[in-house]
Amino acid sequence: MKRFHLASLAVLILGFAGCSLPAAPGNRHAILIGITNYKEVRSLVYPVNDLADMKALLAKSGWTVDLVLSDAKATKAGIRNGISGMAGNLDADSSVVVYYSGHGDSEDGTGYIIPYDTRISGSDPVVSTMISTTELKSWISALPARNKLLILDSCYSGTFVDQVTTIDSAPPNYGPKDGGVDAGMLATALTNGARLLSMALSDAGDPAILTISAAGSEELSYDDNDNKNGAFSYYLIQAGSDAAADADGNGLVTALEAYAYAKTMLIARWNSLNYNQLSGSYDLVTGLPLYQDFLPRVSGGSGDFVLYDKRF
Amino acid sequence: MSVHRRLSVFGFVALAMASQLAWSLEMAVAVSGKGGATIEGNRPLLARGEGSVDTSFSLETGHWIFPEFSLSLFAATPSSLDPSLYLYRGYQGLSLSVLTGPRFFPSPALSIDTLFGIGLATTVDSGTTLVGLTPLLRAEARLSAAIYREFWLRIGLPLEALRQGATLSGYAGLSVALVYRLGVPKGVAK
Repeated sequence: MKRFHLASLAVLILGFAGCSLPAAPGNRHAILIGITNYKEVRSLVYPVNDLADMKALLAKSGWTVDLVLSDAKATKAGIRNGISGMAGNLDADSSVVVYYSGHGDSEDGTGYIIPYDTRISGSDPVVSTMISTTELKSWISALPARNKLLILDSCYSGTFVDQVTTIDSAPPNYGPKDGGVDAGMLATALTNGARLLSMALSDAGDPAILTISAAGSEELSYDDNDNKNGAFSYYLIQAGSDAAADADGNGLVTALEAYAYAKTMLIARWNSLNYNQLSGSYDLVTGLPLYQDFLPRVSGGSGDFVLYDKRF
Repeated sequence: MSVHRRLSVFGFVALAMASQLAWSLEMAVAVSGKGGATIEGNRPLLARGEGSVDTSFSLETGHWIFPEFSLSLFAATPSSLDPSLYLYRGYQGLSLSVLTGPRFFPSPALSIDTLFGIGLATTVDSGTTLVGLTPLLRAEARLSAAIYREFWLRIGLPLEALRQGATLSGYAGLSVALVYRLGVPKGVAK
């Protein structure tokens, strides 16, 4: 009898731990920003498609898309007001996604996204008219939500990614000569051992915002003429429908699962030499491919949360 | 008697005693499965699992094991979900630990060990290129039984705790090992 009770208890514990999924929470909100046509900056082609596809996917996954800001609506003030305006819909248990597809820049190691009304002086964007890492993160951090996810499909977007207790073993400008994404992981951990151990023993918590970037801090990201989306966004969106992205097969695709799928697909397709030769062209002076390798990045910390919920 | 002379005498006596003691040298390969939980800051405590393959080398003298070096390949699953669909990410890694502890009731057929120790683990978050280095605490109670000549079967109850900044993880589980033990006395002296 006692044995039966113990067995029942074990089954119950295992059931709770492994099989039961929480009910889908209703308080999940998204703001989508995409800029195809700029006021002064060179226009892009596919952010408009990224917005439409991401909006449809998030809506299908149980997110309420509060606001879509495109082109002339996506000014610096418009983006700031749009993000802060979400606060009224949120509470301490909410989840928030901020998605951006458009140009990005890096000046002296500081990252920026480029809103519609960024001004150009000479050939460079005026820094004060762009949105810096600090500005964007402070706007999002002010939102009263439990889970915050920032997705950036823009050049140099790795500048927005925090590392905390981990270090990215992939170089800021990843290329075919770097030996694959798995190369150098152990060496990175050991050569940065003192710093990593000191961080592990500190009280450093997770970043307030889980950030996924299309590219490293010194990398460009691209519009993809074959897939008619941002090269990164295409695969991030595909993660919502391709069963391969759901690594544990539980019908829920977390932000990290979607990131990992997009990274794998970009490596297999975009970063493959043949694909570059077919899709890219080469600079007539330097001979370098105009379409270069890049690698999506994700912030450090221990957390993750469900991005695509297929139960809807 | 000077301090140096006293120390020399003590060392000689200790050496003489040690030479009379039983000893053993062990090599083991183990697999283990653990259940555990992780917590970070204000986040909830969430359940998760961990599996590992471990190889260890240990020396036992005078019913005390020291040192045991253990090299483990491990993988932790992502955690369960909280009501907001938040979870802790999975990770894999390699750890090196050094353990020590007493051996109880040693006999040619059976022994019980309790070990505790510290280690370092290199980790990579699943699906990412993010690497970390984290300290860990380990403890294990083990029952070993001789099965064939120098081969022993060992069942263990491992405990493990890791810290990565404000994130703390703890695991408990079951391990099974095949042990090759050298130096066990062949019989009891009359």
